[in-house]
Amino acid sequence: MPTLGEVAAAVKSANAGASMMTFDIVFADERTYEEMLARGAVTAEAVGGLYRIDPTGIAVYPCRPVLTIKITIPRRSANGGPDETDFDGVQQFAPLLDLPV
Amino acid sequence: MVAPVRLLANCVVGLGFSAHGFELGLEREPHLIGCDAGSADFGPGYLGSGRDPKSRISVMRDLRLMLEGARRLDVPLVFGSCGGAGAQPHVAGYLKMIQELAAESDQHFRVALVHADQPADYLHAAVDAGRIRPLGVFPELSHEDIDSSAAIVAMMGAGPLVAALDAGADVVLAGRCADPAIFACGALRAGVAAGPAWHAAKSIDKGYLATQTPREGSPVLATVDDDGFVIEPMKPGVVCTTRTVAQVTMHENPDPFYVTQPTGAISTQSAHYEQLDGGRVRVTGSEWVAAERPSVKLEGARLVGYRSIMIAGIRDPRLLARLDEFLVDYRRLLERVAASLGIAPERWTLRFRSYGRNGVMGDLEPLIDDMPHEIGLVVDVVADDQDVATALVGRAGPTGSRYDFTGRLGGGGNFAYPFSPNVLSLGPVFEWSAWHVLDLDDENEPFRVELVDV
Repeated sequence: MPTLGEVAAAVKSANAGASMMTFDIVFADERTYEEMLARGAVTAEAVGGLYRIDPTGIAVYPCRPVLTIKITIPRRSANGGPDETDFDGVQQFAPLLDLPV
Repeated sequence: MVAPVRLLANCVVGLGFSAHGFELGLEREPHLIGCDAGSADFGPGYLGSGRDPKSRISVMRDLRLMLEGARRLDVPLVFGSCGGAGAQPHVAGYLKMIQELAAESDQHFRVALVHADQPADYLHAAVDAGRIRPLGVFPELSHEDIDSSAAIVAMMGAGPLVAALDAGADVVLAGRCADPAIFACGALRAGVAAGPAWHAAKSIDKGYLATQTPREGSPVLATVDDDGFVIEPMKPGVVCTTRTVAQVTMHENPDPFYVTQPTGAISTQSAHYEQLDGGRVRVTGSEWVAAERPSVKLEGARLVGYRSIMIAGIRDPRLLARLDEFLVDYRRLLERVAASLGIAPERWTLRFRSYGRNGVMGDLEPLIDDMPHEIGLVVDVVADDQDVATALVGRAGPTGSRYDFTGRLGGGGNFAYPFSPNVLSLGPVFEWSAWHVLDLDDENEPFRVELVDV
């Protein structure tokens, strides 16, 4: 089974405010985008499993105009506090690359 | 139908932009030049400390070029979230730099400072009136949160910026500010419909992110009227595509189709993006959903202590093979050192950051069992006093480097230090004390315009 890192054109993470983080998974063409949506590969459950967080707090938005699946999750701790490891949140996408799709 | 309004945007003050592209942008005779100057992404440390995440050298370069261009055309120049966090020391720092630049070129003009700092009394009353709600996963704001904050700012929308322009400002130095408001104020003041005005502003508020080549990209120009807007890059060879422009509204936003602002939300649900020649993109169908009641975001920072750190490289495979056990012992040994120095446990916290293993993702690292051939160990102490943090990290070096374990062959020491001195005092550490929404009757109420003629 291919992984998300193999089929996506871009996988990005960033803060969405201090208490949330957002992932943008961009596909190169409509066919791949539709296929990924149809297969239900990127779900709140799958992402929750990867990041060990409750899926009910995860929002998944398909964004057809930009061939992107957007996922928003709560942060472990508010950005830039004493426990921070990545205050922009820009490296937190890495586990998504290995998600089987 | 209003005449089209042209808005010229760079990305962030201090990040640099193409001087040639900016000059070409000026030739298009923009009605307003703007640039974002801050972000909460850097964390609460800059709001709490009053420092700017960008260096004076980088900021001065960008301010000099933009100020010179705006004065030559005699059009307003707007900076939002000045100095990184947009509190009083940040805005004051920007005013000082603008005054220096004005003196350099013997220019005289009117500056409007738009203060975003929120007095404690005002916030206490708002809490009592039930006008403050938490954002995201933050708890309710308490009176104690307000009193323990080093600074609390509110994020302004376009209203206070329009007020500053109405007061005759040539340069607006705004405190904490919603990024699109920096540009929306120009279009709204000219009477452009809110849908295209706000969406155009949002599309250029990250400057070069609207282009295909962010490294080359800034500045970008938006030409907006009631029917829609066109986004175009100013530097030759740079291209905006329907996709790069559409993606900007998703950037750092939890919801891809709604971008919430103090007086409503930009809805891109029905937006249509059309590729034009010259790397330009035309956007129509943008909508503005007015809020029932205005509201602004509050950001507050609270001091949690003072940090000192040490960076130690570990290459000994035998120590790496038992790293977890070592870190448990190491913590215990440092607790004994603290006790011997009379430092009570509640006065300090210790974090080990093992770069090469879980430094980036912490407890969430799925590959925690893959031990690399070397580790960059950061010993991180936060204490209620800088000297206490420095003393404990000072003792952490020899304590860890001399740690003995079964099978140890590298008798000289366990830690490779890259830096001399190896104990780094990093100063105050902050956390967000407020990340809330304040409901208002008038979006301008929490902000104060101060005019300074230079």
